[in-house]
Amino acid sequence: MLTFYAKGKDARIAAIRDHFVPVVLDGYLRGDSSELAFLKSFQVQGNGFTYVTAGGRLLGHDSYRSLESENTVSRLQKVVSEFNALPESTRKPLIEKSAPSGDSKRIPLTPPPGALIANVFFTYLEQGPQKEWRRALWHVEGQPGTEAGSGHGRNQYVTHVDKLWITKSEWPSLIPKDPRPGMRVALPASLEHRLLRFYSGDLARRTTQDKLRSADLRLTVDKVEHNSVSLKLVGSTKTGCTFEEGRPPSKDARGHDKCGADLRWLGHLRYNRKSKSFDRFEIVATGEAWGGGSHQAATTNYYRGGEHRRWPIGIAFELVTGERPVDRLPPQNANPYRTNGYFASESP
Amino acid sequence: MNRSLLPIVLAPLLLHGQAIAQDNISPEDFPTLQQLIKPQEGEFAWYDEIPWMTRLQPARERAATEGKLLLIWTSADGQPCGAG
Repeated sequence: MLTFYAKGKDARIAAIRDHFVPVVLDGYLRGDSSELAFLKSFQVQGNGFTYVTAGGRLLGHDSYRSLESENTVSRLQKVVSEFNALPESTRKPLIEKSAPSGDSKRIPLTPPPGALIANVFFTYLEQGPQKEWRRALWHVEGQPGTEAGSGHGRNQYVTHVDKLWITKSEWPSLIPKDPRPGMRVALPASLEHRLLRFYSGDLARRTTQDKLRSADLRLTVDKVEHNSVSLKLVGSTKTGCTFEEGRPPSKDARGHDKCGADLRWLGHLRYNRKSKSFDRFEIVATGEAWGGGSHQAATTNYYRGGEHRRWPIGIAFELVTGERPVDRLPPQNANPYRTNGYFASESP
Repeated sequence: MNRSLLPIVLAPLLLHGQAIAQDNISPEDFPTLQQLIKPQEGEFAWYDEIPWMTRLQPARERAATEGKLLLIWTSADGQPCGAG
């Protein structure tokens, strides 16, 4: 994910929102055959922005990093002025609605019908001088990104966002038929496996080699009311390799240090009996992570000095309605180019 | 990185449980941790305040109808708006 930071009322955001039709595409999943053919008709900026008419007339492109510059707004205004000077037939071409091609190989997944969708936020934490917890900035300080040509700039973000999908065959089973406070509720095996495999570690690192050392996630009925049933999730997870003080982890097949994480979990879920849906799905997991390759953007700073230690992390899950297109983007590990078996009950 | 670009409130937050990996998360700490982990004010403005579309064809159709220019944001390594 590439993130741009707004500064108060950001004129760049207003310019894009008001004068463009903004579309964001996964570099691996750009669309069906007709969409790919359209993209091939002009030069697309690989990491950044391409300005093009609906009919395919290219008006320019910029690296995403260039939009951090002071000239961004004037740059966008210039492109819009060029566009407005074009004849109406170019600005408003006739675009034939294309029928679904059936070619789904390069199309992003959409949520399964009836799925519960949650945002999954991840960030690094640290303790300050008074032992207080705060957001860590070690992974962004001293990193390239704001100066042209200074590097890939992937470390500019502080919060990562991913998605969690819980299918319609899974989430109804979280509500007992006769709920009573204190009643234990079994997590569907596929959901528990998904949480452990994809969301129980340093999400910027993306993998713990699927290794599970231990897990104890307990879901219980917390409160039963006329219109709702509240559930509480408590537990701990240990994934990946163990951390051994002063002894760097062994290497994986690619020669990177293996990584691991120990997390504590607390979550509050509420099922609305009237709407027959969850209206609260808030889970927090905090703990420590370690390991990873020195090429990894998020861990570069730790490895720059050859340091081997744990770093505190935090993960927060939160329900989204799925009304916005970006809310329906797939979880990173549901993408076929990342991993297999997102919905499976065990690793392939 | 230029810290001046970060409008994020990075105020320290005191938690009841101090050992983040060993102690259970206390109910009192839950909202504080949520606040700490979720995007800070302004951080996700590019995500939240721009009505990004995620498929090209409907975006082309809308651009043609409204007489607007397409702005296509793509990344060589996944989805720029996260989850990539």
